[in-house]
Amino acid sequence: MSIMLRATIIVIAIAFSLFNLRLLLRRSISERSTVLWLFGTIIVIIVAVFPQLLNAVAYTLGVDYPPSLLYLIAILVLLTIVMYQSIQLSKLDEKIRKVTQSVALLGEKLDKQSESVVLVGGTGVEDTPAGDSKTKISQGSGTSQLGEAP
Amino acid sequence: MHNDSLVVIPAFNEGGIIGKVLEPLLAANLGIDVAVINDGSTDSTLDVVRTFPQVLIASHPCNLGYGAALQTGYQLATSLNYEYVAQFDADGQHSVDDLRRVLDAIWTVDADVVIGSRFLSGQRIPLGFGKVLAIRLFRRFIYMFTRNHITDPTSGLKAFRNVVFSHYSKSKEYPFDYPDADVLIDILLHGWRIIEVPVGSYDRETGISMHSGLRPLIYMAKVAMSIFVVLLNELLRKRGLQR
Repeated sequence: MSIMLRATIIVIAIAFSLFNLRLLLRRSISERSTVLWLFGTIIVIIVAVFPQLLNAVAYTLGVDYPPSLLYLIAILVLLTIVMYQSIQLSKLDEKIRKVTQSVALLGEKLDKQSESVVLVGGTGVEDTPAGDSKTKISQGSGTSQLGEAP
Repeated sequence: MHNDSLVVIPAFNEGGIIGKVLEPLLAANLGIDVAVINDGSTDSTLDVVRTFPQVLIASHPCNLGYGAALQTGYQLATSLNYEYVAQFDADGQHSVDDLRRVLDAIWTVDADVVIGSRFLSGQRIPLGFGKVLAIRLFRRFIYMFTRNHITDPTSGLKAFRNVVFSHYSKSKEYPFDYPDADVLIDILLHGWRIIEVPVGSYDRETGISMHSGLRPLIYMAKVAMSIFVVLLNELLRKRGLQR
């Protein structure tokens, strides 16, 4: 690798890290993701600073043209990050589903409660709970359902 | 009277028709409770349903999909201690008589799940090529893995006993975006009994259209993947390795 190429890679890597840091300071990216990206950047910088490392590894693995090993490393780093994000997305999906369902069920409970409040207020009777089967809603048998453990 | 039974109707942007679905259902006086799960509709669905005061409403703030809406229905039924749940589509493709047949079966017959099958009534049902292919394939899968004949794995009209729907009300146990043959295989592998009763023909196709380019293929691949996961889970469960 020529000095020029190495310098370019290092400058890009540092600029990328700074950009990442800026995102982190603005809270546009989580610490966990930043760690992952910085880890990838550090690998790239190490390779750029010590190209003989790349040559040695390429020789050991039987790669004739060392820079092509660079591609392999880059692809593996990207693959790891994309896979990680795929997992995170699936988890988020699951979480959003749980939250949405809880909100829906709580809304239904609230509907029934405000209904029975109207009923009580309207008839002037204060100590009689509405006698239909739906009053079991307000008795909290469902809360365990909503607070399901992960 | 059967106020131990809840009909769950998942609805996504069905404002134009849901009133016409609810009216005969409530007028039929089946003595059952009715719940609409509004799956984040952006049209008048919620307003229309609110004009029926006797209908329970659970409303997703955003759209989650058919499977998740059904699961919310199971969760509602579980928290209100219902004994039976029937699921009914909001687009007007099922008739009240069909629902009555399915409910009668779950109330009287010794089965944990009842499916309303379009293919048992002897009528010829006009279906697209892709749909027929999918149904044949899913039937074969079900038979291959469970030795059970299910004629209509894609039917949206079903009824469940408490033991089944309360199981699927748990988040981890119902990872089905669009429940199809995969959930039926899961039910059968749990040892629950499924029977089918004949129901009338439908005006509209269930679920996604099977004529839109690559979508049916992707859909079938998704269900196949889901079946694979169900089978793998069963294997792990048998060996006591799961969780």
